Amino acid sequence: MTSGPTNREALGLLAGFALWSLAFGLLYGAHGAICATGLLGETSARTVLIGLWLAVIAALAGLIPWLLHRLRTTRQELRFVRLASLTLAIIALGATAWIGLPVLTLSLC
Amino acid sequence: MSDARQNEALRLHHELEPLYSPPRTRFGFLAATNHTIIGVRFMVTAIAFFLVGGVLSMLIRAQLAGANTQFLDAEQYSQVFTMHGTVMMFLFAIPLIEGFALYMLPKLLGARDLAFPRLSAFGYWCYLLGGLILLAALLFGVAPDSGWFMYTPLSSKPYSPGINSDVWLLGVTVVEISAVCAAIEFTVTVLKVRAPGMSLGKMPLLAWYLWVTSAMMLIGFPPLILGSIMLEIERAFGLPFFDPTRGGDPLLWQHLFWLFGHPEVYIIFLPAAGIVSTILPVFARRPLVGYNWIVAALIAQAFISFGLWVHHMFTTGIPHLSLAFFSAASLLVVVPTAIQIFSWLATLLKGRPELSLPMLWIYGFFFNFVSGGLTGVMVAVVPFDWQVHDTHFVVAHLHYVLVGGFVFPVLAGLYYWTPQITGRRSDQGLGKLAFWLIFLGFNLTFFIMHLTGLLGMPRRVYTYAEGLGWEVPNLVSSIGGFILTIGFAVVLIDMLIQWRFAPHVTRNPWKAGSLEWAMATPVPAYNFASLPHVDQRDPLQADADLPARLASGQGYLAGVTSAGRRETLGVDGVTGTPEQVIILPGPTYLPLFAALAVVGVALCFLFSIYWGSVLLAGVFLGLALVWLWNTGLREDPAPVDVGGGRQLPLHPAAEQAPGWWGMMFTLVFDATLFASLLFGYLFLWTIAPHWPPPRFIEPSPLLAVTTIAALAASVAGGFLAARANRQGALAARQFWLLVAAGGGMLAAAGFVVVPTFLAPPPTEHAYAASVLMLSAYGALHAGLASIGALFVLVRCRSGFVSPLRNLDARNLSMFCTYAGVSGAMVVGAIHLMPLVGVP
Amino acid sequence: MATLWWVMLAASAVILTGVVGTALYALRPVRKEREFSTRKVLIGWGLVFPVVTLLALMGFAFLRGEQLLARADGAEGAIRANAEQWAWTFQYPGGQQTTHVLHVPAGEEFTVAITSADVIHSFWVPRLGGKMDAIPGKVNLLRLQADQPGIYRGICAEYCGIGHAHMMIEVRAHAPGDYSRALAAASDVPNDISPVLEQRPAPAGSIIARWADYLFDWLGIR
Repeated sequence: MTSGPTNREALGLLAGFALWSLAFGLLYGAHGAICATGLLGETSARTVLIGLWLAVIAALAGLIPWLLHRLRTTRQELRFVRLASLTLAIIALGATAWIGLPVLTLSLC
Repeated sequence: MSDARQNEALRLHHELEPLYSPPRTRFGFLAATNHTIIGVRFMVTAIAFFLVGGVLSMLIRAQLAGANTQFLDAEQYSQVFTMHGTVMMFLFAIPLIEGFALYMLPKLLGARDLAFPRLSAFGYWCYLLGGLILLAALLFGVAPDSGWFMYTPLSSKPYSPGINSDVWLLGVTVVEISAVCAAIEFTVTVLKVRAPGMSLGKMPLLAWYLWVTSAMMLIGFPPLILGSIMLEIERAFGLPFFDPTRGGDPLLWQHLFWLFGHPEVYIIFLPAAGIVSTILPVFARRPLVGYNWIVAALIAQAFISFGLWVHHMFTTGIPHLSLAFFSAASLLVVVPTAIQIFSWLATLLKGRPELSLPMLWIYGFFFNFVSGGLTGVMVAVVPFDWQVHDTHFVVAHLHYVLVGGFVFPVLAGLYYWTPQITGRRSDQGLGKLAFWLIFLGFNLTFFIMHLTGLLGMPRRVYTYAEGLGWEVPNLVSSIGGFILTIGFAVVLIDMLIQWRFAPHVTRNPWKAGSLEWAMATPVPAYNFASLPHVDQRDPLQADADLPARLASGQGYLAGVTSAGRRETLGVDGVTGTPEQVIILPGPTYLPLFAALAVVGVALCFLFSIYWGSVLLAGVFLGLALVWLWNTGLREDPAPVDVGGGRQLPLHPAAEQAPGWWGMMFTLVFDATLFASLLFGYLFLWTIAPHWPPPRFIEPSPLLAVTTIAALAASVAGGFLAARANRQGALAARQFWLLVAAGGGMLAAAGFVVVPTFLAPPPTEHAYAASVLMLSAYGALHAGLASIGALFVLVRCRSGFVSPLRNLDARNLSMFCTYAGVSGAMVVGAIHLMPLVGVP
Repeated sequence: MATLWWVMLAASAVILTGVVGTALYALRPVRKEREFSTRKVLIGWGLVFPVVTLLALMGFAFLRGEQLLARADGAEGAIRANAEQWAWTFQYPGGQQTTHVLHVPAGEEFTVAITSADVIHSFWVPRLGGKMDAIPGKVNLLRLQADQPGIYRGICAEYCGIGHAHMMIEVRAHAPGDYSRALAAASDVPNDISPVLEQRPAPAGSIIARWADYLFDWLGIR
């Protein structure tokens, strides 16, 4: 990695939805593995899935204040990209909550 | 303009125009790398393919106009509907976007060309030749006939014994190579090749849309390319990836295809939305409302669209909870779309819109695309989809979103930008007639098709019986289809007349604010005689004098430098601070030869001349090395005076050269391909029937450890060579490059040993076939790392590499690291998985 | 399902009218800029409105989907439906087999176990329920019920080759008392089922083919 803000800021821009993608992949993949292997019972399977879901939501909840801090303490020319990073992280939090809803109620396999 | 400025502008024009044009020899046009020329070629070729696709759709509508119609038989019909979809999706929509971006991006961004002009040319030739292969197949009656999404096992050898499916797999892959090259080029260009001062927040929205689209292409295309390779190998050599009797799974194809297929339609929609975001504010006579909102919505939409793909597979028997993830995501994606739509509406309400000809098409877009989006919400509901999946309801939905969401904005763009391309204005009467014919014809064809689907008519039936109530709706659709075709014919006639006879217009007839209007029309080969400094979103809006100043050399990089080469400026990606002067290559025949080699590989494979494929692949590798050799400088360059009191380094001496980002994005593409391969392997392991395989590979921990050690040597060699180069330690640099080369070769050998000696025959079971694929991937990358290290070694000796000009060494290090990490994962996947056993 | 369709259709009509209507309304000439908060429009209409409506729709969709799923215990008494290019054969728990025609009891739920012998097909009887793909190597369960005795037409709903349009299913629902008798009387002889799809030669296609042959002969390629 070299100097210049581009690399770091780009990572910040993508961080929120990278976590959303992680949540989606974990939920879909874990569910597929659970149903294919049949190792876990109904309640423990659901607990695992809800646990993974909440873990990513927590990560996003931790990311947002950090991005907010970075936005407040930046110079003018980086304001736009940091505001965009924060906005995306907030949207990603909502999106992660949304796609996890099926896990709460639906039949497992 | 004053006389002095006029003379200066003319002088600069005479200096720049020959430099940026292709050679004026007989075959010089084949060597063109100028983005304007290539962009126009792409767009014209795409429109030609659109006409082919349109004729095919007319054949379909003629056949379906009545019950028991005898126009085409089942076999011919299958080729017609497959090619209609294939031509429209792969040979029209994506290439049109590519051509448009090629043409427009440098102009929008205030640059002279894209980051990798030779790659643009290569992309065009691959597209043209790949498309011609598909077209030739149609003329010879061997066109693909298993549907444009080619479901297995129908498209596998036992059920499609002819050459048809191979044509699709190879032809589409060649065209996809073109698309990936374009994607890499656009992502780097929008990031680095902009006018000074144009920070991310001041970029035109269209540039944002095209950038996000290109990033989606980098991640969306690898699953299809991988799937196509796997299916082609299954058909040619019997490797059972999709054969359920030998450990394969037909659903793997569907997953890989739709992992590509769903993002594909957003890749098609987003640039069109970008066109709407560009045109609508101009005719509403105010800036767009909610720039920041749209950027956020755009990026969110891009990510979420990758989580939708199983909604094409709701009826395959996948558990309801799995389906629910995708149903939820399919509904979620509506939100960013809604934000864009309401942003547009707010702009219209706040402004003073006039219904000019381009705006007529935008209004048509609103009606058709929103309709299509609403039926999309309906089919996202799983129980509803269980009824309408694979019926004409879905056909109606997809045409509403694709024609409404893509073709209408493109036509708006056509009428909007033709004054910029040709310098002439089109006829209003003919334009309005065309619009109403197309709008009414389209809705007549497809609106009633929703009903046809609800009446139970499935997709892809070549005819239907009487008495089902399908005759009237189909006849109405067919009549509508012919009206639609007449409408497109009127557009074609309008354009031909306009380009030949219409009066010239003043520059910027729409009073737009973006930079593509700040140049002479028709467009000069060099775009801008000097480059602008940008400090707000619509540069022309505040500064009407800008075009004249730029033309007379009062910007950056005025005219041609003493070195007599093509140049443009590179900036910091986020802030837009000017950073470097990018040297652009001149015209060359290399891209054409390289494309011929690639197409040659595909054609040899198509006709089972496998040694020919291997030979031509080697030729391609050689050409690629020549291509890479023609980059960089043999001496450390002095900083260049670019005007405005600034001195900037040339790009070979810059830290953030475009080539570094090009390697980075290529590796993103490569990593996605690898991830798809791992996904396929794990999918087969857990879900496919008839696992575990009859036998695993012979356990060989020694081989695994040796391979990893060789990979580690390659990684270390690349890294330490780059470091030695930075320190000026030439002997150490040479040593480490040799280590990297040796490590790569040894690792490649380690990978090749597995399928050759240790694994069961790959035709026996999908496990063995997957081991072969993984080994091939590892061997290819280790081998390329090795060749790369030797290449950089020779470059060092020829003086191309120095502590300042360190791009070669850093790129090699990046590649070796990628080959090492991915290779280690391959070793793990091959050697560890048998120990884990099967769930 | 029908209610869901009408609700979605009505909502769509309202939304489409709203969006296009607003766009058309914006064309009316104004003397000065229209006053409203763009932020409120973006948040209220762009964010809140879709989220609320889609959340409601999603809840309904999940509930309905759950209700339609096949039961795990339905596999035991299931009727096996085997798809192949280009006909459906059915095997009953009692050992009988029929082709093209599926005999089911009216007024009670039955489960179809669907698979394929070759390529992917799809089993669909529109008036009885949704469709389910027939995938080689996999058995998919579909739970259906024919409320009244009668004949219900079904089709193959996934392109499976040149016979795809001809792959029909005729479901005969019998009153529960008559069912076992009808099943015993059923034979494996494929019946002609209606509606009939006529197979006629396609002159246009063969004309094109003939002229293509002339062209290739003339060019010397063949």
